[in-house]
Amino acid sequence: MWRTVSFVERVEVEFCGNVFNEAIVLGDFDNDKGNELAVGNVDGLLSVFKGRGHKPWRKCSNLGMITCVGVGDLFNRGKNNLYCLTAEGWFYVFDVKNDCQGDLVKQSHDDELCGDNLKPLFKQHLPPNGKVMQAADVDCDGKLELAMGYSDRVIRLYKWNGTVDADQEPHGSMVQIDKWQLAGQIGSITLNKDKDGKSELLASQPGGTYVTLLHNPITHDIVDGLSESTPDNLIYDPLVSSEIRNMSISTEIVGNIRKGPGPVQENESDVLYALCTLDGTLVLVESGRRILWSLQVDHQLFSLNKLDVTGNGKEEVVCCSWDGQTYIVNHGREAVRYQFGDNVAAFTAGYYAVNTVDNVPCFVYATFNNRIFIYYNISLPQVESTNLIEVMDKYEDTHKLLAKLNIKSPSNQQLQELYHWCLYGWKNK
Amino acid sequence: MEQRTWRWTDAHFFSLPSQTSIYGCTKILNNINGTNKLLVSSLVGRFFTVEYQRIFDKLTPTTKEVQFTYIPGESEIVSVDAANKYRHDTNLTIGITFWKLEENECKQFLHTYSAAQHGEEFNMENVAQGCQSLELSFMPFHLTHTDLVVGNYMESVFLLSGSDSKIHVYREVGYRHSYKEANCEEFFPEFKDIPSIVIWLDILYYYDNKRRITVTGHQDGVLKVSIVDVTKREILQSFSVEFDNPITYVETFSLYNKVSRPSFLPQSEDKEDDEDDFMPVLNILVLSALIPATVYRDVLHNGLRDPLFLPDSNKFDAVLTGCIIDIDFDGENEILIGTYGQEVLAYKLKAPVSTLVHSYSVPETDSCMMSASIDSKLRHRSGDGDLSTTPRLESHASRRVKSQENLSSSVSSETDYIPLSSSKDTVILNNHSSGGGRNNVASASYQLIWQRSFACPVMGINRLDIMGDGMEDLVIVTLKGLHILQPDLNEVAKVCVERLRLLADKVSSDDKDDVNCDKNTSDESKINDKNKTLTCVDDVSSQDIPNNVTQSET
Repeated sequence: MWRTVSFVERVEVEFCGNVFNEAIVLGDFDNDKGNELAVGNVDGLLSVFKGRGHKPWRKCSNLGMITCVGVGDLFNRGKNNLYCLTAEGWFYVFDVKNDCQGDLVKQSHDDELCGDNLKPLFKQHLPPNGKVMQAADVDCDGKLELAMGYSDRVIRLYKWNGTVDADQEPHGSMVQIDKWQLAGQIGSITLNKDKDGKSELLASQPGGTYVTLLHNPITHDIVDGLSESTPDNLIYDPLVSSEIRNMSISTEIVGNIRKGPGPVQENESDVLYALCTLDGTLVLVESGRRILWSLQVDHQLFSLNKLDVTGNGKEEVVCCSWDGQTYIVNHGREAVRYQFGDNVAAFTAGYYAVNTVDNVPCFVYATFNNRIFIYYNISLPQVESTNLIEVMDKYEDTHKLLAKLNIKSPSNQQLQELYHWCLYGWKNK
Repeated sequence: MEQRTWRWTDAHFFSLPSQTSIYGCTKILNNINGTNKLLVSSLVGRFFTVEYQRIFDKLTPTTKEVQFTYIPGESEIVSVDAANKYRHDTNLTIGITFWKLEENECKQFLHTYSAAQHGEEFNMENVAQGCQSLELSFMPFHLTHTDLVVGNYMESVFLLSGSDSKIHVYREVGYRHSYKEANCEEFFPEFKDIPSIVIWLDILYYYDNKRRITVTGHQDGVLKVSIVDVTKREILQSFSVEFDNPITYVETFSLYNKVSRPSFLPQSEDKEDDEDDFMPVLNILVLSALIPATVYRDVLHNGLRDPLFLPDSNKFDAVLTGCIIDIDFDGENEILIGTYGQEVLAYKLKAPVSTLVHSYSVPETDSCMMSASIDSKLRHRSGDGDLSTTPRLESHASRRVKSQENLSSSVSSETDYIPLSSSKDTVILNNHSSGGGRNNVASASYQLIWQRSFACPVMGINRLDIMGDGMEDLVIVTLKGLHILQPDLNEVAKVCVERLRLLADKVSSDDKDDVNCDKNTSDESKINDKNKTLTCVDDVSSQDIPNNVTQSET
């Protein structure tokens, strides 16, 4: 049977309307080191929540049908910006300032739409129907590029071309620098490290597969989408897994899952990536495309994330289903479940500053009932079920000390008695 | 004291199909192979056992539904209890009370289950088949069990409180299987003349099973404490207090756990703890629905005159359940309180050690009370002297102060009970009467050290070594499920290794000195206090050892 846990402490915030899974993001938008939550809905409302506030801290309305929200240093000036993409093709960049822009707040408070206290710093019309977005430094020039996946199976890579003047006003535009034509619908795009420690983009494809997007600015021939042969800037990986039941099932991917503790290294190549399918298959893959394990569950997995829930430096795979069942799986295939009490429209896992200063691991659930729940006390000592005898067994000292005490190859019951006495009978000695 | 922070987190959560009650969970202790499990019932008559098993060499929580026979589908379960009986052999008996509507008439039953086959005593499937049914003429409440000492041998009996304001005793008759109501007054004289429905009852034997202390918490707020001579079957002392609210939980406890040294360890030359078996320090935890939880300290010496309140324990709706467990492994038990307001609160006694390990040379405190072998309740009611002062505090203070003489205890920690100035006299009087060495009693208080919220009202807290590792896990029963909580095991392992190291050092050094290795008291002042009180301690060594430990810990 699965180990199950229950999380209780949460922040409940009000947010109306339907949310896409890509339109909910945790990040430091105002550059104060504490993370906030940004959510965009299909009615064009973008809200930023900070701390324990139930109401939006910043909001901007009438943007269009927001499909993706992201955070990153888009203008290469050392500061994070919040940006979003709408289905209509509008790309907005916001400068979220810590102090409220006075002129915007002055507007009448009673009218919901006029309560906006956030306005776009920059906007541009790009091709419409973008549904996924990933910021990445693909060409290794130290600047961020944006990969956008479209519902017509195209991924375009954009880069900021321009300057930011003294008043922090950007002058320039997003320029397309690459394009990939994929065979199947794009589930999600993620960033991963290749063997040399270089960043590469992966995009998930139906049936639990993915493609590696090769960025080569020199051969810049846009491939005809109708041609039969695989374009040469794509490496299709069928990722043969007997667990895949349906070859057209939609698939999510997340990369750069850290394997071990320690600071993030510049050219760290030893990372893992995971895929999940809507019919309930979860796969963890090692670089070199070796499948470490796969897991079958009875729930429709739609959102895949990574988060170090145990605090041991290894990032666990966090996966959520439409009905709220959440799986936290470690690299050894040991899993913990959490049943969120409602259907989930969008889910993300990451760090959030509940007290506005310290980032703590969080799960964020957007429901269909105009509420978003941020669970902030979710860290666990370990993923697997274990007991004191097993933990003690891992200590070298234990065996030495037991030998010293003349206890040779003790039975479980002897250890049970010994540890019980150690913990509770110590005073009686 | 070294501040380790103990954070207990979910090791497992099991959700129930329908709600349970405060009587809906019981521990099943298997004294053959040492594995323990939990039986939990939901109101609609479904039963589950929760345990840990090794599957592919991995510790795995497992839940099984148990189909107890002859429980009609439409019945509602009231209480469950599991007793290990040993009158004839080691065996497990499970008692279940329930009621159902039959032709618009409410019928109540007590079913007992035990395994028929030898060797299958702890196989739940087998146990669930061996049913014996008793129809009850009253609505059942708390079902529990205790030992009945008859001559030289003991047996387990079921005790059931009923809506007829009686405690019913069910004793095994014949060789097996059948239970019959016994005359409770014969064996339990303290259950004579119970004034109202008992919601919770607790029995603790001490002095080598020659004495027992019986505490009953009643629906109308009465708390009755009886100290009984088991062999003579007579009440030595009894006390009673009235609270304003129904009493939901009572438990008699000692601040320290008694665990015997494993036989395979090299025997220590240390003198066994010279604890007073005849008059141990026993405290009573009383939870009354809407007022702060109360601990009557050292009842055998003080009666009900030394109450302490758990501050803010009434701030989270009705207080429903409690548990005594050492959650920080320092050798002193903490008090856990579960509330309807979905909180579990853990309290620790903060007091100079000297007040806790006080000498027993304290003169028999109040002659009029200690000598009272007959029911002193009458005296209580008549408000005679300081006997009645403290116990009646709650009822008076929480309503409104009727007579100021009763506001003795001054409840330093609870702001709800602001003592009037006149109460000071009584406090001083109390200290005087309780004799020397305990002048610090007034400064002792319970402090909240840990708190955890749950998704549902808390119905029960159990301590149980469900993992089979010697460490007691917490099992919190909420209205909708069951949480098994564990502390961070790496931290526990560190404590364990440290203690093993001390033990090994001691063994290897072949030192004959008695060493007080109590490493937890690294705080200088506490060590000093200890040395004063523990008579068997060699001064030098005890000073040295804890200091070393402090260094290694930091």
